Amino acid sequence: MLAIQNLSKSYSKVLAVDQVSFFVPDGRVGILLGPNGAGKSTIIKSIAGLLRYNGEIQIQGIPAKSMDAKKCFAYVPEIPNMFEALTVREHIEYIRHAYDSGITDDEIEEILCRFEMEDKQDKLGNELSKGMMQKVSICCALAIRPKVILLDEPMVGLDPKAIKELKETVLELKEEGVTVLISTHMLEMVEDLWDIMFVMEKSRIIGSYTKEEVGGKDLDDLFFELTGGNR
Amino acid sequence: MDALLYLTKRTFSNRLKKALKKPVTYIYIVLGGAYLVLLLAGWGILARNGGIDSVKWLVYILTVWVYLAICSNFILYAKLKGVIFKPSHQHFIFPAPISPKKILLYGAVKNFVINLIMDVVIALAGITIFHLSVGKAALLFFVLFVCETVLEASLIVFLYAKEKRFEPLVKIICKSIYVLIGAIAVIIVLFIKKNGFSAAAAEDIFNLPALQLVPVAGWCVAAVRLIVIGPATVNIIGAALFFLSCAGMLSVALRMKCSGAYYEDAAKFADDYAEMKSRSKKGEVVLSIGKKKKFKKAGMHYHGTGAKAIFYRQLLEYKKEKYFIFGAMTLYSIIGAGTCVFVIDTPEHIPPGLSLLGVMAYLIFLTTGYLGKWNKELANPYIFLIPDKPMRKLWYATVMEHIKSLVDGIVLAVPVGIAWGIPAYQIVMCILIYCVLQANRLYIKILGESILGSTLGNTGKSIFAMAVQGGILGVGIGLAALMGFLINFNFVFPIILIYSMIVTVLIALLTVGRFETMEQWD
Repeated sequence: MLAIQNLSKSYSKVLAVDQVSFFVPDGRVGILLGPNGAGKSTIIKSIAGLLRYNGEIQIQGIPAKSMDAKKCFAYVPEIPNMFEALTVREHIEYIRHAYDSGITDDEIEEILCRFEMEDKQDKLGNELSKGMMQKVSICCALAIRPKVILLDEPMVGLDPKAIKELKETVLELKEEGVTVLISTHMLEMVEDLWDIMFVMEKSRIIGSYTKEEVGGKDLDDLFFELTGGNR
Repeated sequence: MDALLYLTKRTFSNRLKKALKKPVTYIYIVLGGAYLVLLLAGWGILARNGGIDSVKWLVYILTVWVYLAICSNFILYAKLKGVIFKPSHQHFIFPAPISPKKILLYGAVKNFVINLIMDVVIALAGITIFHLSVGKAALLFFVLFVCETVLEASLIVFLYAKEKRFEPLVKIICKSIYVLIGAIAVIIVLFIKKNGFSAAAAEDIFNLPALQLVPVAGWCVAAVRLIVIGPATVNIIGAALFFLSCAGMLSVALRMKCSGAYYEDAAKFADDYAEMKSRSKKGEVVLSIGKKKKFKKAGMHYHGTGAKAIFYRQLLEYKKEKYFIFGAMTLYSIIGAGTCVFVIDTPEHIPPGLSLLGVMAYLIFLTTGYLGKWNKELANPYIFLIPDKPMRKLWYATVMEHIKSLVDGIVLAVPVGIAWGIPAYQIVMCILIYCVLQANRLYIKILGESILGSTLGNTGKSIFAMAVQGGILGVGIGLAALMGFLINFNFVFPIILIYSMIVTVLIALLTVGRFETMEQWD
């Protein structure tokens, strides 16, 4: 589970996130929606431990900055940045060492095959296209065998087959009891995935709904209703 | 295996494998080795001729080195800008379950490797140039590398841990360093004023006991003096304090908590640094990291269509710049002109006009690597989409550079010409030749990019451009000298001008193809 309590973050005098609290239980998919500049990326980076913040973030009930929390947490950033001189396979090997995840060679092969990267295992980080980098980033996150996974605009740059695989992967993770948080603008891509929705505007969460609460209501309609925009 | 160790090992191994496959690596190794030998030999000759090849001068040089290194390191690390992380580190290392302290030291390894190389060179120079015994050189290496690295690593942990209770102390130390630098400058000025500027006066300054008692940097100098010159009361006290401070800092660093509060600053600096590197690769002169460039407000009325739009867009961009079209080359021209007018007297053995031409050619040769704004045009796909002829695109993409060269040429040639009493027509000729040679340099650069592509790095391409332009200049100068000697001295300028124009137009014609498609030539 992922719990955020009174999270605030300022850059100099600009308040980027203001007293944000939310909770995503085990085996649920949360989506973080909001217009550009709403503060989504700041929240994501704070959870990933990349920013200093006020408030509390817990992963599986443990403070997010502790080693135990980091061990079961995976992060797919919006823009992937590869190690230039490491091959695709070596990226995953590094993850296996860093997280001591216990993932087997066969499981790594399976993940790579799923995202059509099995024949690109020996390619160096600086030889990959943006879409391929995104696939490696996702494969690395899955190689952690996380309990909580954070995906920041994960569909950007992916081909249709990879998007389909990613959606299936998210549903499988959910089945396994993994907590998933996705930040995205591509509402139609997460239509079938989400359980809880958090809508942000101007540094605050202005609404949160569960799928059961909204019934069959369209995600786009809900979003524009809350943010006051037009479809 | 430790994840960071695995990362370092694989990165090194893959880079080495890749480098060994490229023939250019072997050329760089030979050139680098030869350069190091020549450097040591050159320094040796210089030191012998200047009478500074003794251990006491080694101490003086190291005094400056140690002060510079320790003070600048402290200020950089205090600003959290001394350890350079990459965007890949913020993606894969910062969120990983690895101790932030360990990550910090992993990031600083590059700094330690540079220290290692520098300190090996200093120890070798100590033995070969300054007649230091091997034993003393080894001890010197111990102080400069082992002790200083322990101190530096501890300092990094202390400053990057960002513990609130130490923040006022860090601020005080930073301010004290600036005060110290100012105080040293004042002492030097007063000393020179009293005793005059001479080698003896410089020695007196370096031998001031106070310089060995300034915390950390001075104590390190004392340790160096103890090893190189021998024991004296001041250096024994200073050295003892230095070793104690190293041990103390190490103990503090080991006990200090480091929670990863530095990740935010390190990640931002990693992005800024990566952007600076990418801009530098494109030929921009980047003077500050992380500061957003400010532009003035400006408007532009476009006259004409097609490729002409490139020129007007560039003009608009320059109008928004703080210094309009005056850039790094203008600054070099001002420095060149200042040096010629105030430092060098009017040449007696070579005609002043030719001397000025030589200065201008030398400046062009030295600044071969400088690219300017135009270089970004070729990385921009829009230039290839503009419905116009490649020749016109080439002209309008580079014409602003020719105007800038004209201005820079005037800045350099007019004051020098007046100071050296050069006839007006020769000054004009010099300016025109300067413009044409700058254009020549620019087109050679485009040609080099097209022919060499990614086979050579930026340095390799600059060497290629220098070699081609050096060859062209050599032939032109030879031809002009011959005509001047055989027929009339006054022919020298027009011959060089006409020759350079012909060569430049020919090279420009060869580069036209580069403006047809974005793809480089096979």
